Amino acid sequence: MRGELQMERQEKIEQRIGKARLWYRLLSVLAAWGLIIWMLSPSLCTSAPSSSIKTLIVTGQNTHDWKTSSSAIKQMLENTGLFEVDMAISPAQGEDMGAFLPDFASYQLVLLDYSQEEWSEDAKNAFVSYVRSGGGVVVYHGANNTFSRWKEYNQIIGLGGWDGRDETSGPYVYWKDGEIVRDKSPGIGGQHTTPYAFEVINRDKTHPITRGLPEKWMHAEDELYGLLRGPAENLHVLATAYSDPAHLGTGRHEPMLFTIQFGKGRVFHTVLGHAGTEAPPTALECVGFIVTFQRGAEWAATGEVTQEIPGFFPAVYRDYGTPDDVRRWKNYRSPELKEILKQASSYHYGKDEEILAELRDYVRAVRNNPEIRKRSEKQLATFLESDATLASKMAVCRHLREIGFSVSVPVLSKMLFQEETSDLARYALEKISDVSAEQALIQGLGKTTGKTRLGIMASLGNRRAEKAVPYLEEFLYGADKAEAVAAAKALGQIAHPNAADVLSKALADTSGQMQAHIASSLLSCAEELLANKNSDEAEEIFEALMQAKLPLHILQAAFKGRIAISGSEAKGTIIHALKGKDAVWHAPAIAVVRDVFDESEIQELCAVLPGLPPESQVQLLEVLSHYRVKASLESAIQATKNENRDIRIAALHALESIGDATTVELLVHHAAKSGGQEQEAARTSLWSLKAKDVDQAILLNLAKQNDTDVQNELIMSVGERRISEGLNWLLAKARSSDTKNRQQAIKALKNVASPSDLPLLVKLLISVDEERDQMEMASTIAAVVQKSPQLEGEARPVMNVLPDVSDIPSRRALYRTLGKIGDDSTLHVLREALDDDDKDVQDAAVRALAEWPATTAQEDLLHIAHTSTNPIHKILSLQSYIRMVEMEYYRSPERAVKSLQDVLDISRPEEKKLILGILPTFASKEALGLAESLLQEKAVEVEAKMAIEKMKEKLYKD
Amino acid sequence: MNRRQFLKLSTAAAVGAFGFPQIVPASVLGKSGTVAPSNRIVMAGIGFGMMGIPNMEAFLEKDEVQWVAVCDLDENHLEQARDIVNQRYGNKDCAVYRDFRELCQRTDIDAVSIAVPDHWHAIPVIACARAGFDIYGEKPLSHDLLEGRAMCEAVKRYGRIWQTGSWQRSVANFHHACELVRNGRIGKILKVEVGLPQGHYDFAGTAHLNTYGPPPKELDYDFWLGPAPYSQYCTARIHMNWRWIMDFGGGQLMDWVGHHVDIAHWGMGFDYTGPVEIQGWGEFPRRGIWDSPIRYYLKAKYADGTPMDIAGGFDEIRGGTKWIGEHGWVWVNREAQETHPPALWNEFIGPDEHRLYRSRDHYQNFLDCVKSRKKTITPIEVAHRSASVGHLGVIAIELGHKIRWDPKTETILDDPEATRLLGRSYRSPWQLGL
Repeated sequence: MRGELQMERQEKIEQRIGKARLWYRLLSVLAAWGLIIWMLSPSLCTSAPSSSIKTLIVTGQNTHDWKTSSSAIKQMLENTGLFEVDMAISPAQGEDMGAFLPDFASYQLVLLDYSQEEWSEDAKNAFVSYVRSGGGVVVYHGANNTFSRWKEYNQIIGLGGWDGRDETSGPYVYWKDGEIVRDKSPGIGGQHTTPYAFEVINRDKTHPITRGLPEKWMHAEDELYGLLRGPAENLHVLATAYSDPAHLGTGRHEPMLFTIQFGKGRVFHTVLGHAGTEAPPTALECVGFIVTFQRGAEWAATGEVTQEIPGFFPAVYRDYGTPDDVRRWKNYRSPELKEILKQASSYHYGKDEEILAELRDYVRAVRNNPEIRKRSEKQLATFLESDATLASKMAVCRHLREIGFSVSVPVLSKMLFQEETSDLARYALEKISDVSAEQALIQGLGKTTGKTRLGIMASLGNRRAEKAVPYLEEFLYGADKAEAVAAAKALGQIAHPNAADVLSKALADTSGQMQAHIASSLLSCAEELLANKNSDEAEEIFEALMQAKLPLHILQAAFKGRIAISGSEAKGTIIHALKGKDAVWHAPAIAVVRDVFDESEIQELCAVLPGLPPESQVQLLEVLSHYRVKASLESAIQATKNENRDIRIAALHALESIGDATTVELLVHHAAKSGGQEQEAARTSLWSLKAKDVDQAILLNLAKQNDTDVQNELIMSVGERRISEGLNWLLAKARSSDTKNRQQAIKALKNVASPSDLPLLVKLLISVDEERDQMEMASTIAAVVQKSPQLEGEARPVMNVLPDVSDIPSRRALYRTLGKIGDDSTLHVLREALDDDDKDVQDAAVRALAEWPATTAQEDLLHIAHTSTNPIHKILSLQSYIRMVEMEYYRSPERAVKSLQDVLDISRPEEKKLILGILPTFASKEALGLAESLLQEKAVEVEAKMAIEKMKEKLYKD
Repeated sequence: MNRRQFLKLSTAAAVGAFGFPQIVPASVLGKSGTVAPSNRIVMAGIGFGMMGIPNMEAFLEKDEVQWVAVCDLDENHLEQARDIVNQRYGNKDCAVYRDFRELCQRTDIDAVSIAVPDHWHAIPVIACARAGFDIYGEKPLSHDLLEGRAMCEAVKRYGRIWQTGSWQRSVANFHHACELVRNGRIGKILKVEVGLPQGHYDFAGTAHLNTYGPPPKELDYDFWLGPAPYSQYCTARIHMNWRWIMDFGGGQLMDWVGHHVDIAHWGMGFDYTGPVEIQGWGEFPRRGIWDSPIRYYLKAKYADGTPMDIAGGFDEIRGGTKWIGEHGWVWVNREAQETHPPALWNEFIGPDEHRLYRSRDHYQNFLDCVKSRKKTITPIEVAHRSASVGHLGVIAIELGHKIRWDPKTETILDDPEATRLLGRSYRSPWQLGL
């Protein structure tokens, strides 16, 4: 007994010790983790851990604002958590530099932000030996502006500018034709552009500093240094930028970031980052500058770069960047999400939206870093639980839609179950792929009511959530109609076989509207089944649907689906449907004909055609027009004789694609004898017939057909089809005794004649009697003239004939033709004709000038408008003058407006309206003034208002 | 029991050979299915804030149309539309609706014209297709890509005729430009450039009414918001100017992609496909009530290697569509065109060459196709493909990296993040539902 007790006690003690040991182990692990966390936490690095890089910034004098720049770069380095930064500030300029001797040897990295007075020899030697023995150096911007005569300094910095540098300092270094060149040409060392934002191009994607940076990025407004020169020994260029002459640059790709090896020391040189009078300095706040600076510094100190490239880096992935690609960091560090969220928490409609834009930038920047993204998701989720405004929570949900995974689901779920926040939650949850999101939505079905519940069903549908099917099923039979419909729709979207099962069961149990919804969803399921090659099951659904009392178009959809999958039975089914008494099955049957019948099989369809009701014939003819075989052609030809006009029209349209040379006569007769849509259809087909010999058939018909209406159609088609062999026919018909034929032929010549035919055309012109025909002929001649390649002496065919023509009508015709052609070398003829004795000749000259297609007759017309005693001539000329002002849209607005202003006093309301119509082309202050001056005139008030509105739109657009 | 057995149980009417009922009682069902050519096409309209009225007026001019109803959420727009119809027919027969779902119950309507904000395109279109109406709808087809696909499926399923308001295809100079390009008159195409407008344009003149507050009583604002995320009412954010807000529209890019990109596709024969790659940049305003991109530059590439640049606010890309080929180029815009060489424009495309669908009256084309059931000149699939370029472009701009797209399966490759952005959740109780 005692032994047992002892053993019991022993065990208990051992247990206690074991527990204690466990606790001890636990505590020590916690302590160790605590220590590690503490050590890694950047915010605790002010008393930096021993692994940080001891850095010294040398500054105190500079042609730049060193006070701002040195504190900026100190902060920049400290923000990385890697550097412990001291400042060595020299005496001010003019003071004794003797005592200035920074303790370089104690540091791992020296940052030069100094220019001007020479250091003491001791200081110089100390610095050089520091570098030689392995000390790291960052040369920053203005530090290369100085010490041009200190040999080792220039070897260390590699390149420099100003301070008397020239070819004796060393070569220029820049990028040209795909490589770095060293150019020994004589010339000054150092220049810079005016400040502007520019692209920096990554030239070495393997070096630790630039590895992982994009091919190019946008740097903020800065002075771009160029023409730097120096020893450039052991110098390697990492990035360049094109120095744009438009900003007083060199036109070269100048080096921006480069490294130098001096002894054992690594040097990182950045020429970027001008700190002038702007505060804070835009270049220093540039993310591109900050990140390359931080990386360069780490490399110079350690030879490696451990820092990650932030998502904010201003990469440019297009042909060229713009200032909008620049990214800035306030306080030289990436913003913290919690700061942004704090500011956003009070956002409400109507308040400054900028904070939402910052949030967007943040999310965009971190989305490619899984760790930060997950942390951000957690923070965003926490935000949703705070008492921030709903508007700000919506903004956050938008981002969770983009980057959310499982972490935010619990919070979103809670929001989902409450009416006020449910839509916001769903905006994110619907797109979160994690299974927990779906579970939350399914749970939500049971925890919500009313429209909140409906919304959840919608989301489950969009997600194609198969697991939701059994839950949705219950609602199909519920008392709430809206929920039943929503459930049916969601099941239709899900379209999984389980959903099809549920819906099929419900089909029999519902009626009316609800059944129609079920049916629609079943159609969707059937399509899904078909896509997965389950045609048997799809067929069953289609059949079941067709037997239910559903709206017609649903039945038709089911019928269509059934035919399409019935394989070899499809043709039979279609024919049967078409032969059936019920026209409702025709449309769906016809709709699938093309998928089912090939060219050799359509005989039976053609046989069925004539027995169909008109609407079905129209539809079937359209379908048959895609079959270029004899059977369909014959059917269409037959149908053109149908007593129903719409069938005739459909047949005529069909002939466009299946007609041939034998169809020409039919079409021509049809076009000649009908009107409206029917005539249009016949003509369109005639003009578009593709087959060979159609042109020949048309010409043959011209020869044998006597009816003038038919002739008319044939002539038109010669023109529309540009049948060049028809030229002689047209020339003959242009002399026809039938007016219509004559005019049609003259019109058709526009398309068929070529410039070499012009002498014939001019002869025709003067032989034609009727004025109307003459004008038409003149237009034709002008149109044919346009086809000639040369643009000088176009009117020669007319000019050749003119001297020999004396009868007035012919001379008028020729002058009018000159007016339409617009050959400037003939202007003098018309000007002379203005003073002709014969009034009709004068009239022709005025009209010809008024028709001039270019602006060269502008002055003549202005003169006529002012001086003519014939009111019609005044009006014609004035209106043409205005038209010509509009033609010169490229002229300065002031000039155009003045030209218009000059004729206001002789303008009637009609001309004023014309002027107002063209003013918007010259939208300007002056044009607005002119329009405003016309506001007073009642007759043109409306047009003036319109013109002003149009011009304001043009001038003051966003 | 399994589905097969359920379906068998539901058999009611006697089934003839080939499995469809012999007699269909007309009283129980809807319309006879198609419009007899001699009958008038009965039409109604949904949405009269901007394009609704001009579209309706164009249809009213056609004798073959009988307009019977109008639907809008703004009492003023509703009354204005109703009055136009009544004046046309000289009676007071035009019915008014505020809820399009009621309109969809009518069994006497053949076709609807829908002109509502982008965020409202999908739901009424699908409802109308389900109701058996043919549809004249506005561009861009959809507010997001998945909606567009759903709309195409619905129209296809119910065999509906669809015309898009991409009326440029029915205009002679666009048609001719595309025929020149398709017939190889400038040789192999090296690049396509599409220039679209930049910035925002104050269509309604309400930009200055930018304070948030309660909605006016003539507007059912909650319904107007519909599936879009809730935001408080602000006059500058609704009628006509909704398109400058990404929750409702897609800025100039989406507004115009259905015009000039549609034409670009037509000239290239890309009607049923899309780019395989797209990347771009866009400047989103950081402040103000309008948040759609002010300037943007997209670079797309198609499967045959053809690059297409789409830009707004970049002078080097001219407004309109320009195809640049080995032997010259063709540029076309509204009422203007240029070619190089200049004489190219006058070249004749003969009957034997590749002819493109010809229409010179976009509304008439719709009506003709309602009767013949022929596809219109801008069927829904074509509209979806041109809108898709815009949707993918917006995603590319938002993410800042290249998107790779498979136009056959309509999926974004290897990019779950971008895939998330293809569709969005609707505010309750609205549902996409097919």
